[in-house]
Amino acid sequence: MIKPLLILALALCCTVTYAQTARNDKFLDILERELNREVTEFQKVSQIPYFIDYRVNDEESAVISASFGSLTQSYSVRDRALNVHVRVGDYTIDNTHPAEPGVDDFMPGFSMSETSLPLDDNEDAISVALWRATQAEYRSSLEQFKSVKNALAVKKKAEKVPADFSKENAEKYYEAPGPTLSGLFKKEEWEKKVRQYSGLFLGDASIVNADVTISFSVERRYYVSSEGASVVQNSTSIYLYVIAGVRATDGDIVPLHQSYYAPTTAELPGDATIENDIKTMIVTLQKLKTAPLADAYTGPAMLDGSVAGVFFHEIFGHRVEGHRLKSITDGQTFKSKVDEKILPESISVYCDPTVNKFANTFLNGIYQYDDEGVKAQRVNIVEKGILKNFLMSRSPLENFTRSNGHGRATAGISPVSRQSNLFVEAAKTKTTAELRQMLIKECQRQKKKYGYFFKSVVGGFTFTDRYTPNAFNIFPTEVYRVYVDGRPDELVRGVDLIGTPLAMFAEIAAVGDTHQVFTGFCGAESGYVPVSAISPALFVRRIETQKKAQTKVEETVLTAPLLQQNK
Amino acid sequence: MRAILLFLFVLIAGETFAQEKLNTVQQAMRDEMERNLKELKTEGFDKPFFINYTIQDETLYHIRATLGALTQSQESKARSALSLRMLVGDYEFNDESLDNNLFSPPQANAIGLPLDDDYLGIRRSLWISTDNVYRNASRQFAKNKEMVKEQGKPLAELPHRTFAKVSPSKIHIESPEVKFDKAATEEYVRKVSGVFGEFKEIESSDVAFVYSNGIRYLVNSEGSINRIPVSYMRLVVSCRLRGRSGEMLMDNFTRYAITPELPAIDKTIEDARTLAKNLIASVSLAKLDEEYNGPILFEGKEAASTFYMGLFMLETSLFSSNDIAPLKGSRYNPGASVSEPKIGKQIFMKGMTVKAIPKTKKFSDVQLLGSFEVDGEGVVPADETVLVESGVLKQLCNDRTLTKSDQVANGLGDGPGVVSVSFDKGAPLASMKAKLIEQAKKEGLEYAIRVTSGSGGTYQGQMYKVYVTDGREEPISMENASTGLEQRSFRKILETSNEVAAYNIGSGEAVTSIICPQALLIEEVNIRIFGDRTSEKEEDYVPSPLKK
Repeated sequence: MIKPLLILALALCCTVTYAQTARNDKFLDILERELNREVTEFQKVSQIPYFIDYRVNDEESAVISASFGSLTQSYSVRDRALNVHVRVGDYTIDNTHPAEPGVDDFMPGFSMSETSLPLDDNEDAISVALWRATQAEYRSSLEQFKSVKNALAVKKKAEKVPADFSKENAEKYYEAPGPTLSGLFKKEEWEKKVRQYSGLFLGDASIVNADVTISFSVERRYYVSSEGASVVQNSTSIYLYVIAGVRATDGDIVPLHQSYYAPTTAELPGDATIENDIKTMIVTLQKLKTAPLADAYTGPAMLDGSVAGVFFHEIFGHRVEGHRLKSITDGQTFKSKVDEKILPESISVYCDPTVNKFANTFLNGIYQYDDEGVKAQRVNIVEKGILKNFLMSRSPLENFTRSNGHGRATAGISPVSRQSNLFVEAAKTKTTAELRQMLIKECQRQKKKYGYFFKSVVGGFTFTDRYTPNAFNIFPTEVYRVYVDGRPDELVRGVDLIGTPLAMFAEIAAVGDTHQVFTGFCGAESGYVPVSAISPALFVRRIETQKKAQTKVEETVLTAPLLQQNK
Repeated sequence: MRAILLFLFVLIAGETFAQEKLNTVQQAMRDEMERNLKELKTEGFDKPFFINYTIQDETLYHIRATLGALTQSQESKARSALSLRMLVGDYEFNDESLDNNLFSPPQANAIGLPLDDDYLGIRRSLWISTDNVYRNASRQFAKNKEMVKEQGKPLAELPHRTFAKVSPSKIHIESPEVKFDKAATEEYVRKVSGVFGEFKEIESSDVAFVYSNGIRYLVNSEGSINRIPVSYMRLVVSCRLRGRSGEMLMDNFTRYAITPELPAIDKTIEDARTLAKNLIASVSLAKLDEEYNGPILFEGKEAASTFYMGLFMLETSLFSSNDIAPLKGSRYNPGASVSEPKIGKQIFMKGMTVKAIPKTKKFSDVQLLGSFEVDGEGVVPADETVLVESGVLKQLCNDRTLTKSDQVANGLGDGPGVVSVSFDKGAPLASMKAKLIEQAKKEGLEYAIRVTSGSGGTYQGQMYKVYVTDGREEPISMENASTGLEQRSFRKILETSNEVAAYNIGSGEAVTSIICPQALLIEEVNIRIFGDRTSEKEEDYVPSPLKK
């Protein structure tokens, strides 16, 4: 199972919360009426479902892209994606129960039955779509439950297993409709801006791609259930990505990324900041042109905050997602380590989807209620190095019987437990200069000419299952060799940071005193969800790198038309 | 000598360009094409002798609704490079001459075309793609030369493709003034879709409107420079329900036009009602219970679809093939097309003539949506090209890639556009049923088969058993039947109607218009029966909200 974290969405979709107001929402009324009708009508069938829910992501979004100063995309779309669950059985054993251990138990109850609902608030049309989706889901659940019952009947003695579905409070929450997409941004203004930003890359023939994309999203999320939950929340998000690649002297295309996230255009950095960042990016790209290709390496390294954030997200975060620990196909790295020391004792880790900002940076793993209608809450996962908790959806674990508001999914897909805003904190910290000194000292001890400093990253992935090596891979974009002899740091290219989680944890030797934020999208079973990772820098006694896959492009025969005109 | 001629030719073409007023897109295309033609060369490899750019601007509207509610309303604009073709070598022998894999990827590091009329942006996009194509083309040409050398034979004795020389085309067609009212169209689509709410038997329904409005620009190094408006509208009204055994039954009708003007809404609503009623009625129709071998009378659009099938979808298609036998390696690919060797031979019944008349725009009151002035390679077709004469195959629809010395580029590389199918004699439509019965009797059959386009949908037509004893007709379901038309069926046409009609077959830009007899009686067609397409009857545990 690959769980890639992409920085491409480095900016984050932040939830704008509106004061709870009197409800006036025709669409919500239709959802609830049809749900109630289904519940009533289902009382007449022999196998009455014990739970039904409807989740609808009503999203309007726009994308504007430019390349080298020319507008290449500008469009908007609207969709109302429905995800339905109909559960048969009871909370303890239902249709999602693994009928055959190890076969169907990885994502119990997982459904990708996305249905697009009508965009007009037309009761007949919407009700029919809901009804059809509910019937299909019930038929499927009924079949699954028959298999579960048959499987359980042949078992000699019932094993004690966690319940299939947790009992939670039926939450009621309503936000009045938020801004419209046209209220979120001015199309012409942003078309002009992305042209302008991407145009900064013109003039250097070795820069072979230079794309600036901004996406705007206005989403209204509805959740209603037969338990009585009714949650309506809004979010707006704006992500601006700058992606450019330079052709190195050997033809290797070396990419760099920069991204921004804010809930409103007013909260995005101004033109001056973005343009300055792009100019810095161009300077780095030019240096990367002649930067040496790095060989595989093992030895000391320093990870800047954003790299450390991705590192924790991949090697730690995915391994504390609760639903995963129910599966016998998963590595279950931490399942039996509750109340045991798993990290240096100065380190604490928590996830908090209720925080929208860290210092001046917006966090995109924010929400009021998760995608199962459970109130978002902070979860202290590691306290002073000791494992205390897991990220829980409504799929309980032994001793963790309730959700803690981390059931998440992309539109139209069933939720599983996922990360939100992951915070890494340390009681004992070092300054950046001290970390650097520790790095050099450790290099000397290990008789290394240099250690590595990982300054920026685009994302990574990890495997948590038992059928593949339980490894991770982080994709750094800006990596320096720090020499022990005092030479200036040397920019290198072609490095991926790899390893296995437990071995790597044991090598964390010190933590920095300054946090950085990585915002992105995490992809896993339930689709891509916005996440942030907030971490201080780390000094690690031993890391391992491997050569990055290369993309080679030959130099063009003719120069670019603009460059030729300017001759 | 060839090179000198080409040089003169380019100079002449260049002079002509100078006299023309080009817009930004055309100017950028021409300037980048000329720069590349002049300067593109790498050490040890040949220069290109031909470059063609085709760019299409398109504004696309998708509007859909079900049960009176919109499910989609989207407008998108795109500018895309439909073709970037470069040839290295010469017309007789070039990089495309030997390898059957003609794909030369322009994607490596591609830069998207700007949506704006951004002169340098367009050139930049074409520059990088041209560079990529050149790299592949120049190396392939070098490889081709080596391969010929290895064969030790003159080129003329080896199977190879040539590139047809054609006169440059300069076609500028102004886009018609079109007023598109999105809000009104949304309302139209909503209203039509609302009709299906009247029928509790209909399980799902959809009304989908697509309107594409754009311009296609072509510029090539021979001097062709074209600006062609490209536009089509399609309205598809469809509905589904479950048959007696749980199988899904569906039908639809489609309305096409070049402009976005929709048919009168009352008429479309009435057609939608008829569609639903007919589909509901079809549930109780008997199914064909045995395989059928005998005469079939096709009428209306079913006759046109049958002709289309016979001309373009069977083994001897009227499209030419660009495949050749490979010089080396696997002979899996048989090389030459099946159709080409049949040129000069009788492939259809005597008396049947097929002509491509691509520039014909209207027949009676039917707009011929397949009509075009110039094909995708910039070749202007003749007003009329005879493809089949009195049953004998005369020529195929050819593009500029030729595999035989007597083949010519006839401007039909994208298909005939409009095709006329005629017969030297015809019978009144009214008399054809009697002929059908007579033939069935002759063959000792209990009944014959008649297929019409039905009064509602056009998806599958309506099939009738026609009993030979009294001419009685019994509508039957086509759900479990498949009409097996074969090449030989078209040599056994018993009769065609003397009344002629025009139909548009296909969808979007891939429409072929057919002007043909209103009815076609084929002596022997096989109708196969396959097992009931019975899915498990899906029980509804809760009644539909519409059935309250």
